[in-house]
Amino acid sequence: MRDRGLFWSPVPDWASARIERAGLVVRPASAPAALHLASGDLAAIATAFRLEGTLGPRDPIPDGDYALRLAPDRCLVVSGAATAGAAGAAAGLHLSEVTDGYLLIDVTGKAARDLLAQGTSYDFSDATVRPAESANLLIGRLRVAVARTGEGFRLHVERPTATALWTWLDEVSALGVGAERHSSRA
Amino acid sequence: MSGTGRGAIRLDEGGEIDRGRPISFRFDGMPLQGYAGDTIASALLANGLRTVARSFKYHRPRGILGYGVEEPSAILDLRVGEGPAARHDPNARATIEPLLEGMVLKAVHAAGTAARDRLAVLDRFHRFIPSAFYYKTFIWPSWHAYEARIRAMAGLGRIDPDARAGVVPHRFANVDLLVVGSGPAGLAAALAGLAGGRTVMLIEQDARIGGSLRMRAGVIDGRPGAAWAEETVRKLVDGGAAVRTSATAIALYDHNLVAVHERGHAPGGAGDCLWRVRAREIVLAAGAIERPLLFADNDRPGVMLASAALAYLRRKAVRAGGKIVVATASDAAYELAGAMAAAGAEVVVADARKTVTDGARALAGDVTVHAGERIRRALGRSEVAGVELTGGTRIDADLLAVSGGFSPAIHLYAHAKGRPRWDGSLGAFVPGEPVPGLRVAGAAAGRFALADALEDGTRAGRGSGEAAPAPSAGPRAVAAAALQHAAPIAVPEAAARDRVFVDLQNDVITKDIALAARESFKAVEHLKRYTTLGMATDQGKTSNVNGLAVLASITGRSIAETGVTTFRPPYAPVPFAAIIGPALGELDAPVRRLPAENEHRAEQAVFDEYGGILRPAWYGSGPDAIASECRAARTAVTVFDASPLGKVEVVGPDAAALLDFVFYTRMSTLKPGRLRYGLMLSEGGVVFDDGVVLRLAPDRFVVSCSSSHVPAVVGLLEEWRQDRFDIARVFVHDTTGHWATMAIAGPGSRAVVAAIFGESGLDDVNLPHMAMREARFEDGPARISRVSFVGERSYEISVPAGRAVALWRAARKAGAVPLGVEALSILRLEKGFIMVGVDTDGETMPHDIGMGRARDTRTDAYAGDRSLFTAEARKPHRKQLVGIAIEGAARVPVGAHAVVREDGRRRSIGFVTSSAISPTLGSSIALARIEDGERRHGESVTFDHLGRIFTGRIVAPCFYDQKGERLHA
Repeated sequence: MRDRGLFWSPVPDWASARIERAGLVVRPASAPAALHLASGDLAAIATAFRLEGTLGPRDPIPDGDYALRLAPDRCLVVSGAATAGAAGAAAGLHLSEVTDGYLLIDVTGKAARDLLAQGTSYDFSDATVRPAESANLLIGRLRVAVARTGEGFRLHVERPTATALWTWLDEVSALGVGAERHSSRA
Repeated sequence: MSGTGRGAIRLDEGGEIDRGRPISFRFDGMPLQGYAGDTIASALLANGLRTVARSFKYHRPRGILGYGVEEPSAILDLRVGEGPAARHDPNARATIEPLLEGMVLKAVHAAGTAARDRLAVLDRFHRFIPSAFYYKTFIWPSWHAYEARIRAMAGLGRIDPDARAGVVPHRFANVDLLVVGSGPAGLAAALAGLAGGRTVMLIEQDARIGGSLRMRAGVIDGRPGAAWAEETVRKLVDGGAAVRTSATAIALYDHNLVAVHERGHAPGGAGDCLWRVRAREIVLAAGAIERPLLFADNDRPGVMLASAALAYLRRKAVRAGGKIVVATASDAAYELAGAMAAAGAEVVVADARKTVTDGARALAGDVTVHAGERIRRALGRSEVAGVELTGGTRIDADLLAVSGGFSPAIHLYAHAKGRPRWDGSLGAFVPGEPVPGLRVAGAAAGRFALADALEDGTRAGRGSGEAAPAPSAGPRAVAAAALQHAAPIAVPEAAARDRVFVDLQNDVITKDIALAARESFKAVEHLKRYTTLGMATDQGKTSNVNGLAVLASITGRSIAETGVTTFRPPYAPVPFAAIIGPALGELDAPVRRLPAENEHRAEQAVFDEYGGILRPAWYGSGPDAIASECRAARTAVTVFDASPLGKVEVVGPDAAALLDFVFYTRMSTLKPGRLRYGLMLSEGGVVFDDGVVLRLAPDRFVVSCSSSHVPAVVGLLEEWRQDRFDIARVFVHDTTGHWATMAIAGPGSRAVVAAIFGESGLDDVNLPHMAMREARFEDGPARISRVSFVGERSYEISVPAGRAVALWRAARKAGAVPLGVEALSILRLEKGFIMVGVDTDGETMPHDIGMGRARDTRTDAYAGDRSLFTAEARKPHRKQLVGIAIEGAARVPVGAHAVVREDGRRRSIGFVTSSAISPTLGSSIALARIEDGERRHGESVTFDHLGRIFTGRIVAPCFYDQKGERLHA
């Protein structure tokens, strides 16, 4: 039998992993203290965690805690405090801790949108407000929860597929990325 | 050199070429020169070459017929660049590819060169090789005797196995308006769309914007057409429109998804991109493709579409001939006649019409016109030397420019399920009923006049937007004298010896169509398949309509009655590299990873992919690695990375009720802190997956399903939750990725677990088999479960995934030996523990694998319950799970059939599902599913695997420790 471990790149060392291209920096975000899957009424979840609301792919991530919509009645709560889960449970929410289940990757720079446009059909420029829109997108055929940051996007990927997403980000951005690469020409 | 024409020249000025940048290239070994801005076709013409190809079947000499994507003949083997940037295209279209320095080109079908083809002799046997000849001729003694030789002669170019295509990125775009084509109609549409405040994408398959404006005279808003086009595109780009050139819309799919192939034309394929554009509205302004005329030897090099000759002249400064006959039945070709005369060529026009319009006269100026005359045949042995008119007149010529009317490029409209309509007055298929979200404008809609195209485009681009300006506000052209573009298709009465080509790329002649009709292939779709008309890579762009006209005339029907074949994507050939995109290598079907993968790598693990997960198969390189891992589990202690095992939490007040329904075994009776094995069934009663359910609290369970079935089980639970339960009272959370799980198994496992946690309380009273307790590991939570998949005392320890490596190392430090998936598969086989999807398949029900009890006793509802009592489910002689003790030392292959002889015939009564040489028992064992297997224990059975025979004895499906005492050892 051939060793398939030789075919697949090893899992990156996330502490130092970084992709840099013209107009693009990709690196893991610092790990939040706690992540929880929370199910039930999304508005009630937001209230219990003292959030303005829940986020879809076009919504900017605020400072502090936030929650990404994954389904009509489920979200991923990203908290800065490890005790957030206990507080949520005390409020009667249905929670499951998944802190080690996700890797957060920040894709920043002016080429960030072009890179994502190579992996998802989602229209980030569409201004239509869709309050129930899921943050989950397929990027490079992998399920990723996405929200905007000041200068790009934060990708929330399940750990078992994080290496595959990283390889996708690395290889696809190496093909050429950014508005310059695909500027209009006559 | 036979390919040298007398009259083709490069003009001293004008055109889109850069005379300051000469380019050297080779064609069929000849060193040639062109300029930056040339296509391969224009450079070949400028070098005086007329014969540039051989035909597919008859190996007749062929020249360049067209200017763009419609070209049927000039298809070449192309090599350019070196090293990693080297590119090989075995069938490049000379009219599409820009000329690059150092290109090496070869005619594809020729044995030798295009000028001297050793297979040219085939043309003399043409009478014996009509359409479908191979079905009729090569049948004795067998088609296979000829197949290899015929296949070697067929095909379109030869792939170089060493050539590497570049990786083509895919991009998604979402726009309000996608305009296909940048001629006058397309530009006007894009302008109107932008003015209406919409996001606009404009694509043009040519390397330059402008379409017909680049070659035909016309004045728009007071400026020459080409200048207006340049100005307009700047306006569009400044206004935020995306403008892509060398970009062909190859297909339109549901909901206005358009696939666009953009060519970078760089060596190595760099710069190519496949766009997937989702457009709220589409304007199809792709223009029209000129049709050739039907006459004898109309395939001779030197016959060219009039529009192509005009484009080469105006755009590439190539006058493709010196003595030119322009053959037409409409006004469109007169502009060429005038332009060629102005460029110093001798020009004669043969017009099928009795009278020539004033508009035509005005365009052509002072050229001789033979009114009421068609071409009877092209003269010249291998290239055009002249023409013979129907009246008998012979005229010397080196270029025969033909114009048989125009076919609107309505392919995308047809992809959208639009039905083309034959417009008899135009002599063309035009769009019929409109399709939602798509408008057809300009020549593509059969409106050829410049002023009409502009108005049409403005109206289409305006869409239904109220903010858009009125059509009258769009660009205007001075209406010249109305030109007649319609041309009736004249099907000649060919003499017996004559050959009139309809499809040049597939060498289909009018007689082939007559033959098809004689043999009753009179429907267009049958005709197409019988003759291969329109089936080549040009998809019949210049031949389909002529072919229909010939069929119509033979069968005495009108073209409208004859109908048209289906337009199928892609519109133009697309390299596989563009379709595949970056989904190559590691990006094709990526695997899931373990949290401790790199630790396993450091432990010399050999990996394989199991159900989409990269896992250690075994550790080390010794030949005995798997067997020694098995022995360690039976006699000492092992650690196995079981992290991908499902950890699907089911929470909420109705959690127990949901699991009772989804599981075949009841779970509500499980006490907190306890575990229970169970099956999940499909609605059809078939085993869907198995797993262990752990109850953490009255309203919280963890479903530990098979590693590779986690997404499917989450889907199954979610489906029943939403279909049958109050979705506010039960929820499904997949927490699999959060937890790392290490299974410690073997007689020494308890000591290892005690060492890891440095505590007692692991005795069998506090933690019996199928129980769990919570603990702390490195300041974090941990779960310790007594559950076994190998039949020994075992503990599954789960900790958050970030501590996976620490847990692994702790187990190793305490003396556990690594265990890979291969050894695990043998250990579980020794115990007869099934793997769902390996030992079960799409017809396996629980009572087939020894788990019929719940079926017999449960009275409440559960998924699949009724299906377990259908006639099929109750049928006698179902295949049942058994063990097989194989005689001898050989392993029986999985899939080997158990065969019996009944009434003198062999019959399969079942098959092997798992097998191994058991290191524990030192014998060959297997699991199988055999008809009535449970009643056959003790019987001998014969297995046949592709002729290899094995004998075995049917036994209970457990080869080791049948009483289960090892679980407590």
